[in-house]
Amino acid sequence: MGEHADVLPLIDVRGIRVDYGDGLLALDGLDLCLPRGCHGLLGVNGAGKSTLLKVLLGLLRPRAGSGTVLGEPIHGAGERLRLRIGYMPESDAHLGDLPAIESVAMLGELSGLGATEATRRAHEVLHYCGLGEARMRSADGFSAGMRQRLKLAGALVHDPELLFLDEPANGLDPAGRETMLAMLREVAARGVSIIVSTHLLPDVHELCDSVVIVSKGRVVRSGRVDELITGLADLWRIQIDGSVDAYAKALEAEGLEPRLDNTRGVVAVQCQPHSGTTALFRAAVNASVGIRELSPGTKSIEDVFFESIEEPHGHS
Amino acid sequence: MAIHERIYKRLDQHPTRAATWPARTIGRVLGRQAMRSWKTRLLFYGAFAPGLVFGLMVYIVTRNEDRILRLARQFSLTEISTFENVDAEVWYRCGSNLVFMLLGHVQVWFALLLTAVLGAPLVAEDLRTQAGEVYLARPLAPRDYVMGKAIVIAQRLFVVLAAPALFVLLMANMLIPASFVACLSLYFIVVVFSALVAVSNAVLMLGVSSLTRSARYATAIWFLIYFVTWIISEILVAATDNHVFELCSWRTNQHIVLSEMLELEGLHEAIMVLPSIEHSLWPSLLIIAVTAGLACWTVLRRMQPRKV
Repeated sequence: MGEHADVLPLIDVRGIRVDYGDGLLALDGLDLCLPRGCHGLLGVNGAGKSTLLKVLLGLLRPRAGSGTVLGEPIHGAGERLRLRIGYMPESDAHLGDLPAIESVAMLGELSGLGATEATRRAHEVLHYCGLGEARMRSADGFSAGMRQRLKLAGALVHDPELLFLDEPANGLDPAGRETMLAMLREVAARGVSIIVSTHLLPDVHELCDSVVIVSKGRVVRSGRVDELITGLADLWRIQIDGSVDAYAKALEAEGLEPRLDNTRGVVAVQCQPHSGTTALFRAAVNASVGIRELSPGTKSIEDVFFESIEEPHGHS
Repeated sequence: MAIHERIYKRLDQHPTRAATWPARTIGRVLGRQAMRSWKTRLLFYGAFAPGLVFGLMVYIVTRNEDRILRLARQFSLTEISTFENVDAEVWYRCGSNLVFMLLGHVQVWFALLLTAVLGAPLVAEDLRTQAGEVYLARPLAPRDYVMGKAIVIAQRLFVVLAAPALFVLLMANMLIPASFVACLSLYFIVVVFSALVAVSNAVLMLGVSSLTRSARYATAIWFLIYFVTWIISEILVAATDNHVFELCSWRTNQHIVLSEMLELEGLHEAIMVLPSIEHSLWPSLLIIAVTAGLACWTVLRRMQPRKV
């Protein structure tokens, strides 16, 4: 690594296009540039998140496009690149009935550590991941949470500069999820960059500095989490007394786009910047409903996500 | 008791290059794990029993040569004059070749079983748990993955095939020192044949294992390939009297290679009547190589990243 390693972008890819040969485009000219840090990769099933991770790992060769990961080209530097990356797949992916310590040590050896160093490091990371007591047992007998932690240990064994995590909190109970996130936060604090692909939006909110939202093989939105959730200050949450549907229709007549939460009788409305609340009250009069509460809405990462995947053309 | 702080520690020195022989690492670790099963151990160590039995037979025969010839003459089992006319070197070669031929046939059965036990889960289980991703996310090429898995099987098959034969051969040479030079080429043949069967069986088994996500199905397919092709080829040969159909059988091809390498065709006339071999070495070798190549290609294809 040179002295400029820290200023190089973590990932810089342009025009990545992957299809699996049956006319289905997994990635459709995807552009992405991320600095070092912790980033969340969001998208619905089939959006292309896992394919993107495989391209970035050098496992899949894109039909078009190029770029670099950690300064290494994604074409032709696969093995050199994977030396510096840790990957925790979504699937079960345990190595037969090997004891945890042996499977992690083997992965360390395959990543270039000497046999003795790999074994020492395997003990260390298994202990870190909370499997110290279970390290001599086969993963066959592990619970879902233990398997997740074993996969994390395997990804960390060679101390990568960049960690790809595909659904790290999959199948974990709330306590297990919290432990996993705490571990990842510490790993990130020690200077390891992390890309988390997940469906669990709160995890991204808790763990990541920035978010990349992928839909239909393209990046539809990306940016820092705090900027995305506060970017639209003219969001209002309105609790009404009366028919929610009638009020929603009245809002639509005013040219607004309401989103209903029928379970709580709350309507979220995105207004034009600095347009005030006149249209909201006018709609209430027209629909003959009363406004019980009107509060400025804070966007959640879910709001950002759903907005992004509904937009025909996203923006960065 | 030491108290360990649970903090993530960075390595002082990061690995700067990938493992030199990743296949060897995979082979070593997975091989060690496979041998932890008592079934595998029983089969592996049991495969040395024929070597011991043959060694004992060689010892008894060499120590009681006169008595055996007398018995053979008494029961008119063979034309003694045939033996008396044969050159000593040819006699030693024929005897050793015949012993290895018989031992080879026994060991091939152990190899068949051991291949199934060791190899069936190797790729099938990885496909089931998608562990291939974990391997291929490391700095290694897919061919290293295949080689590593093949080493798990081939290493043990080689030992099971070669060690008993070399033991018997060495014992015969020690009991009859004059036979050493005549049998020198047999050492080479034992090693080459064992390596050929070990590698070809290993790669074919990996191909079979990659066809399914269940080790049981892989075992069933392996035995089907071995026995069904053998039975069909025998039926076709019997029905058409055309020995070219023997080449359809994996087992018969290995048998042909063994027989041809031992030159039994050239020697059987000199000492006793054995079934003559209808084929030459090269078609069988070619078929084995092509089948193994196809199996290898199948594994590589199955391990490619899939649509997600």
